[in-house]
Amino acid sequence: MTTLAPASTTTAKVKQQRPDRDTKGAGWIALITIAVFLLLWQFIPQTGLINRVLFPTFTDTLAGFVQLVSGGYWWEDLGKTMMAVAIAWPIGVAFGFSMGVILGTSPFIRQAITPYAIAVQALPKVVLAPLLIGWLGFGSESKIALAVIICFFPVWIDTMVGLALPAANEFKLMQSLKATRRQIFLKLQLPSAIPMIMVGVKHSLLLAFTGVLVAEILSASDGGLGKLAKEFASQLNMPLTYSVVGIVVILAVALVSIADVIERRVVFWSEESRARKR
Amino acid sequence: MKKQQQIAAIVAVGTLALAGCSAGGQEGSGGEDERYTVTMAMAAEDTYTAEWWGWLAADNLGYYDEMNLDVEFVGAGGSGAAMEQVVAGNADAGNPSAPAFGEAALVGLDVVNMFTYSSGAIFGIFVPESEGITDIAGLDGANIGISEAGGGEVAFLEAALRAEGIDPITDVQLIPIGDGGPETLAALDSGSVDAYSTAYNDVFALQTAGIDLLDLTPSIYNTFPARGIITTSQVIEEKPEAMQRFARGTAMGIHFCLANNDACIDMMKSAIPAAFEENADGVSQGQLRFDLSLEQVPPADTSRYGAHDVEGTQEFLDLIRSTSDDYMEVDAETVLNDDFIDFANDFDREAVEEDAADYEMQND
Repeated sequence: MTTLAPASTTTAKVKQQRPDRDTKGAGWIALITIAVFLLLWQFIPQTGLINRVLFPTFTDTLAGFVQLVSGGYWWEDLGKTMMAVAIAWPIGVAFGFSMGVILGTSPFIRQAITPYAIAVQALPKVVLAPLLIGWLGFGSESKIALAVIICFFPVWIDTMVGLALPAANEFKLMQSLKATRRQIFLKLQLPSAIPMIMVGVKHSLLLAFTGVLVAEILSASDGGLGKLAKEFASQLNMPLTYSVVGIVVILAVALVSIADVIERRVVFWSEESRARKR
Repeated sequence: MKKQQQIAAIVAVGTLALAGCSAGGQEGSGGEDERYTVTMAMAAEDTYTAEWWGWLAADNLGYYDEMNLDVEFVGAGGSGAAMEQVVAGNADAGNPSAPAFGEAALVGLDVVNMFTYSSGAIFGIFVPESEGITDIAGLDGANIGISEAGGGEVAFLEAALRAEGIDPITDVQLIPIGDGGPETLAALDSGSVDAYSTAYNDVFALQTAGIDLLDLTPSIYNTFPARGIITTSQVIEEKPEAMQRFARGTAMGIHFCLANNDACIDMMKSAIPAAFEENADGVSQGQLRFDLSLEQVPPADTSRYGAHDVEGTQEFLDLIRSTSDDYMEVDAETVLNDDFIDFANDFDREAVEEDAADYEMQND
């Protein structure tokens, strides 16, 4: 009996050490990958194999980034982009959720609407941009409208599918307890659907961001980061263009992180959230 | 008592509503103290670019405001879009390029140029020096890049080709390659196109990127009107006082900029800072575009701002008409309105020049 205790302690230590070693290993691989990427970025344009005007080196881009950031005016464009996202995303989520609830709780409406839903899903939403600009003008309205159209769909589908997740037996149990439709929705369907809805909500945040940027590139009169990137590209000032793209990447990562935090708070009971916490 | 108050309130609200209705749409009595509003659709994504400094200066310096005029400048995206906004009645006026205006006039739309802002060739035909093509005739069988299908340069290009006996449909291929950005550079660099027709503004970036371009633009194009304040006869009828003040304010803005170029560059830098960013070689596209605007598309007549060149406009309309059987014959005088030119030029030039001399720079 006494010999077993040290053995189990050793096993526990091994179990604790392995994730640490794995994490460190992954960290090193990530660092080496980044270093190799930056070295290639720096030296390949200098070899003359590709046009340096179109593909500036890493240091050219870094200098462009410093130039852009010191300019200061880009804050206004950043504000316009983020403001449009902040307006479009909640509207898209609210609309998607409402549509999902209506279609998820009413088989009749679902059957009637499904063909149109498929048509909307199949449509590349970007083709609507010229129409929206024609209807709503070149201001922020058309930008927000395009973002809403692009971002509401995942919430709609995930809500609709999520509400259908409970098993038939669970519905029967609720009915045997004489639960009303409202009670079935609030106490069975919605709690089951929320983890899935949150996936859609998270996805829609990035889509709203994408929609706003696309609209800014297509109709840049309202400003924004998309317009800035287009302006610099038209001047063939690629270090500044790459800098704007860099800012967009940073923002996208930040938005995903924020969405992750929201998801973890809202659906703290879900398996995926618990796994991430671990 | 309470009922009487309610009736009085309803009457008051009704009176105000009626007053509001009568004030909207058409102008009132037209007194000098009356304040008017004009919506101007600018033919680009940036509200101010190229040679549009006159409008910016007038707005910044309060020349419109001094005449009790509010001008809302709206970036419409492009010349075609600006023309559409004017024709649709969403804007009182616009500054589409001459081809967009000409095409609208030639299909019978109610469009009027009330103030010729600038003259000269906005669009050109360029060939990389390495191609060895030295004249338009050499473009026979070539792949020619254009900014976009239906771009303003297409009508000019087609007319220039036809003049040399080249059919623009069968003898050459027109390929949209963008407006001077990375996709254009890639197309020229790879040899996908042998020539490029676009706005003069679009070739700076290519030249600074090392593509040496030969300008094949026929010299006659330099005599054409470039841009104006385009409106409709309906707007002129409904808002004559407002349009009159708009024309004068614009003339004052142009005069200011010609008196002090640096001041207007400074204003442009504040309005569109991104356009003035320098590239790695220290070259600013905004600066190049400003310099070009003074050489390529200056005001036609500095002693009488806004004055029309009837003969040049007629030649221009005829040239555009030659590119399509769908266009009707249009007399230039029917689409040029000079009712506002005298009023536009009736301002104190010395006072504006003093403003120009006293301007304090905002940027380095």
